[in-house]
Amino acid sequence: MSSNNILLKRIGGKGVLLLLLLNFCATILFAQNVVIRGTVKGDVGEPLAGATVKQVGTNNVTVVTKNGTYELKNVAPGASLQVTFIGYKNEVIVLKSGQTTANFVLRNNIVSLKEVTVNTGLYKRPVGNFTGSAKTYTGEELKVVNPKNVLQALAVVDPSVRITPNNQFGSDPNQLPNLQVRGANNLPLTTNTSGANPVSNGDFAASYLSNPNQPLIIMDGFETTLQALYDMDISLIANITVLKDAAATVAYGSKAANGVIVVDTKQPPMGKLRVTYSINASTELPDLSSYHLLDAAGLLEAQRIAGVYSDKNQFNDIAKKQWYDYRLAQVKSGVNTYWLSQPLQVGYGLNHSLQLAGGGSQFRYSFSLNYNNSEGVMKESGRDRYSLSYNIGYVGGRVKVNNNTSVGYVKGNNSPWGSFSSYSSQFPFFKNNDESGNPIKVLEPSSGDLGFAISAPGSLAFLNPSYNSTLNVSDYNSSLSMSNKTNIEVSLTDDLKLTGSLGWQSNAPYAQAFLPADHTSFAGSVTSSMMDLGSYSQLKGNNNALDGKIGLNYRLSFGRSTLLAAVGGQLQKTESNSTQIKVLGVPNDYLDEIGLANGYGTTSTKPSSNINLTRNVSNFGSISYNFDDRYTAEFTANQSGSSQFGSNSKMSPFYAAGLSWNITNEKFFKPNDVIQSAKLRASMGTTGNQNFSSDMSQQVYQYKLVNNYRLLMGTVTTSFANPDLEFQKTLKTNVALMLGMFKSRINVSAEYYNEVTNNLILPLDIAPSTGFITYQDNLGATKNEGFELGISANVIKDPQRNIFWTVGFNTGHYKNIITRLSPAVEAINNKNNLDIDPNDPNNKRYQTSPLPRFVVGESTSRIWAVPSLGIDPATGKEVFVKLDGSHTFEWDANDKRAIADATPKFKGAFSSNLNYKNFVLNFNLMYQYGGYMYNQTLVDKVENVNLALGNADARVLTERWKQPGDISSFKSLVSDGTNGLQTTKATSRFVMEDSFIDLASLTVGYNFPSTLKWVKAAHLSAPRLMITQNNLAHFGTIKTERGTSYPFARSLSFGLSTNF
Amino acid sequence: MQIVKKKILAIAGLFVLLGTASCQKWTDETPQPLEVDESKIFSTEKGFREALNGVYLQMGAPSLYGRDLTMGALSLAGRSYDSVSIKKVGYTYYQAASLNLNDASIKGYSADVWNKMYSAIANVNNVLANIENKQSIFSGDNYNTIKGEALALRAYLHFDLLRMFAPAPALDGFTNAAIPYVTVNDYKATPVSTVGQVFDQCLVDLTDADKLLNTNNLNTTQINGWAVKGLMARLYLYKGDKIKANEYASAVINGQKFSLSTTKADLFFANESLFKLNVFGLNFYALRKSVFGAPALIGTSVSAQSALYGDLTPDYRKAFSLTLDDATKTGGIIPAKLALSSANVFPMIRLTEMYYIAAECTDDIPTALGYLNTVRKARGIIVDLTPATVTDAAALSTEILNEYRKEFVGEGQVFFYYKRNNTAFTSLPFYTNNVEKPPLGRVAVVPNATYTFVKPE
Repeated sequence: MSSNNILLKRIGGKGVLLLLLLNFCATILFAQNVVIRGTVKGDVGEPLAGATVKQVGTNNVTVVTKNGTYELKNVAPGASLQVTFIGYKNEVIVLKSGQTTANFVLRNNIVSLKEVTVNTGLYKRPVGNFTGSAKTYTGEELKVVNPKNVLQALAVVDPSVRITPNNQFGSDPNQLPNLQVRGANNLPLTTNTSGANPVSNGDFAASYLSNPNQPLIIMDGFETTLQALYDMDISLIANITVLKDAAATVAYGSKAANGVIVVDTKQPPMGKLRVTYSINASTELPDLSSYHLLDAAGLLEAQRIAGVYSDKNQFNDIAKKQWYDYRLAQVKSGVNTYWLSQPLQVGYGLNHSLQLAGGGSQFRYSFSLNYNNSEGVMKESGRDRYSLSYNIGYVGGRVKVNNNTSVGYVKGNNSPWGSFSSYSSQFPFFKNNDESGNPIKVLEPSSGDLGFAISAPGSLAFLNPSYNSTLNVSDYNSSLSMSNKTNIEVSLTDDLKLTGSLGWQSNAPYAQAFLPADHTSFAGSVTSSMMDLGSYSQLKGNNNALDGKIGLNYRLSFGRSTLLAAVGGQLQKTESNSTQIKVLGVPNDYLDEIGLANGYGTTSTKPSSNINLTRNVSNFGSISYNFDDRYTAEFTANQSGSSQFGSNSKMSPFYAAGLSWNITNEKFFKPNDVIQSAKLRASMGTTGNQNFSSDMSQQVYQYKLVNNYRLLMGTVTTSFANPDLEFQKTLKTNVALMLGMFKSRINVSAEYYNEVTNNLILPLDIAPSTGFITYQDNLGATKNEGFELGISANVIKDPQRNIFWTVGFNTGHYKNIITRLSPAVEAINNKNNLDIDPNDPNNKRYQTSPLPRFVVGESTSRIWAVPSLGIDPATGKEVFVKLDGSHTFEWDANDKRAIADATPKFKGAFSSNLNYKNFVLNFNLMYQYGGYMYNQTLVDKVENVNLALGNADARVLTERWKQPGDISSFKSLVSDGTNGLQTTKATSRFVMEDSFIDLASLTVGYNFPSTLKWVKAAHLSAPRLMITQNNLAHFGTIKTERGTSYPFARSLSFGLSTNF
Repeated sequence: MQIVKKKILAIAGLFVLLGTASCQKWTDETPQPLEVDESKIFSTEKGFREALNGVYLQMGAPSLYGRDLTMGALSLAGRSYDSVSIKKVGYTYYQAASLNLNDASIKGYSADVWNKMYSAIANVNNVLANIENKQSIFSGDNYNTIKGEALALRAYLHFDLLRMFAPAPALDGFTNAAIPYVTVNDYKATPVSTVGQVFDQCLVDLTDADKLLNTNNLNTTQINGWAVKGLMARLYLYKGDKIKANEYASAVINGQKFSLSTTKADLFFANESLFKLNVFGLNFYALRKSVFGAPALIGTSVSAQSALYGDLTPDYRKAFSLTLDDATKTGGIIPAKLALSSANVFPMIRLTEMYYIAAECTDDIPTALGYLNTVRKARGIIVDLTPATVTDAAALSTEILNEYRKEFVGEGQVFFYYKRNNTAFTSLPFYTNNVEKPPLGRVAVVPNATYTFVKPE
């Protein structure tokens, strides 16, 4: 460092001297060819040794010295001097008469090196020739944000990537997030709306069926599943590109409508053997800050007020009072069990990742091993991942070959302790363990044991879910996956490349759940026969995908024009099958083998199986023309076909076109102090969605095996196939402006997008005389509109002192509108307005959560509830507003109105990354503004809670209406004795604003300098320590129990990585 | 440069070829979970047979011939039973018995019939759509058999839809809107035909079927050549064309392939059936139980039996059982033919109907009585009807009606007899207009009674 300073001083000294000299010369050598001297520096003052200075229009050239100075002789007065240097913008100065010094300050090229080309997975294109909307993040960037979950990291850094919040499964490591890019284009009519997908789902088609809005995921050129990305070793990721608009994604044709996430893994570098090792140790801490449950005394009091211990029947009343006295004695004896902590643990995780890579100029190889064990916050839950892969590459002459083989095994253990909600509802006045510390199975003595006349209010027996942890319960799913991918690239000429790839991927999911007869889930069914107690279910499957691709890339430069073209074709075949069996009757927990079970049970649960085969074809052609680095036009066409679609429209074309204008390179654009660079681009095109079940377009027959006609089988078709069914097509428009401001210290990008889906597949009611009731057709339409804004600023950029500080801010707004529906959707709406659950008449909770309603002009994420004026202070009853504006105490489903939208108005992140010498400090704040949420857990824990059966939120005692005159936000705590408590149905009272700021990640890192003695002694290079804290703090407008079946967790990880 | 361009063109051309020819094929075939694509079904003769079996199974549905178009709703509407009360038979059946066919519950029932019948027709049409140009996969005469059967079934189902949902020609002529006659599967509804057009369309299909079906095939659990002729006789009579009806009825009688039974071992007289439907055994018992079983116990009372059959008659058909499980326990009110626990074949067209049609279609009373006496003898009645007692056409008509009532009790055909003749409601058996409190042994007929079921569309 000290030597640098001296150097700087020296340059400074010389500069002054030169300047004086030049001034002197200029006065005497007038109007003749002169010698021009000066300095060439970068925008932070660094000398640019090696840059060339040229008199425009001549061959008069000189090279800048290492001090950053130059001297160009024999320059005509009034000539122009141009400086060029790689990585910097060219600079031209027109000499004034008599001028003999010209100092240049070159600006960095706005695009940093990593963004020079965009990889769409099918072709690569320089950013200048690309008009689509794409954003690339390096693996390192993502790892700094979240070293354990790359999908979470992506949702933090990119405003267009959203993960639907999953309040039920919290931080369960065995639940895949529900991922969307730029929102949803489909109605959640039949699909999974809980936001959770089972993780043991390696089936391509099935994973899309469970989330038809899921983006396409491409890994090293091959389509893969979300699970594969979720389970992959983050240190193998070179970068991830999110392709958003039509111009960027249309080459994928019928699969592109939901956006594309392209993952590139690290390729072996040239050189001697390099060993990289990284270890990441993490801890997961349960976050119970959202739980405020009653303690033993409080609950008993609440139960008393609610009338759990009173009865109109005097005889029963006495018995219930006995129960109260018994429980009160328990409370007084000091029993106050904190049930929430029973199934929880601090989860530890360890991730070892080892890579060996190296090779010569022709032959390269890499080998990587990964072991990742992560425990969840529920006891004995966790996810173990093992993977091994090797990569061999050959580069010789015009041919490049690369082969990658990987094997992975993932095992996700579900906690034998059961669902977290069974602990949050447990009564704290029950003892958990007996004197010797073993869990008590039945938590309370029976009425017979106690000599009371009737059994405890609410339930015959209260069971302890933690008892199950003492049994040999096994509940896990696993998946063994294998893949082999080969890529070949042949350079036919310097400008024409032929590429081909062939890939095979396979995975074998397996899941089992063994619950012995002693499990508490069978305790209620003692009256049923012994033979059916205990269950064992098993799922085995096999999924295969075969992909073949061939492509041509062509490049042509002439004059100031560049032409890039790519054509390609792809065939894909996926095949998946699974078998599921469930047997009953396993009396002892050591009989943990399927063959030891009694049979299929008296209810005869027969084995089920599933086979699915899809075949897809996709051809594309893309051409990009660039003129003078100013104007770019791009056109891409795709022809896609899939066996999933109707026989009359199996092949479908898709087109997109884009334009971009690099205003910076225009003559009229004068770089000024504010704006140094500007680029405008726009694109428009159609993309398709094929995430649908294929039987909509096929006439299929079903055999009635329980029935026969004269001992012969009969087969019947009941659904009408639509041979004209088309891919859902989405017309996407994207406009973007990128600016480099304040000497490239601030980069701004703003994008507007509009996505119109005009042929959404919806059911249509048809005349029954056709023989069919409904059929599927492209009938609906939705429109999504939004913008994204990203600002990044280099606050400090000081390479001399190695201090860099960048801050970034991004925000995204998105709005969804249904523009057309089929009449059949009205039937779904009507069903959602019924008082009785059409699927389960015994479901008393049918209307207690807002059910979806699809109306033209509204968004799909609207929350529909009956408007409420709050609690009447006189009666403690809720006052509703009917559609005609009148007030009523009666809740009526037909009074439901669109109250608010669950989609936030803005979602985004603020990030800061500071490198100070060897230290790294990075944090990311995520925020959401203007979204609304139905506070379901609050309703369920305060108003709809049945106190006879479960514990409640503390607000039950403190904030409910008690007597006339009370101004309260919760209804009165009353019980009518026989029917339990009144239920609160979907009301606007619980629609609450869900705005928050989340400290998503905080990372502190240290890069050990290679000069350290121990680093040298151990032959290490670039050792690095990182400490990351995820989900550290959450500041929100809504207080809700987060993570009902599985709690949320805060995680802290320590990562150490080094090269040898 | 030129070479490169040519290469690009050549390779691009290759892609285009790839994109059009082979890709279409690549994306064609897809097996589905627990379902079979129609291309697989219709690739073998067995598949075609199974698809037709599927139609027969659909016809055996409870709301169709498995229960309600036979012993259930239609027999109630056909006034077969007098032991009927709202308490015993339930609201819907009671409305059927009262001919209150505009009632919401009956509308719901008739919509179900409509949907299921047309669903069966759609299955038939899919067989017909797939059978064209596939002669090569059939052995022997099976192509003609399957195709003829499918055409005949299409006519059979449409004819019964016509008889239920359109006014009878005797009442309203041929120009009224009737039902759509659906011959192709399409999501667009087929326009509604008039009564006359439906007759014509049925006859087109039946004539074609008649040509295709071999009259030596006597497999009566499938619709066959004789059943087609029988159906044509039934259809012409309903249409009012007695000459044609007589022609076809006589053709069946004189064909001599079927003969009348002479014993009472089988009260369904299964060997007389031109076409009978198998209803899956265990199901069928459950279906019969749902109509007659405890606590419903509906049927024809002993006094009504005496009124119809006479007190001391050797008529085999006067057999009414106490329980569903044992036909030998006589003296009850359940038609004994339905109390045979093994009986799971239901007659759809019987030879006796041909005799009755022939009797109805002749102007000569002795000839007509000859037909009736043949049947009566076969049923154990020794005393013949003579022109001395049956003196005029009206008396003959009464005798024929009584034969229908005796022969087809619990089979649903009597309803269509009344509808065909536009019988006055006041002349119906067990008639009373006291809807509020019908006297014992009487079944009320509502003031707005009708023989026409309401179409759901």
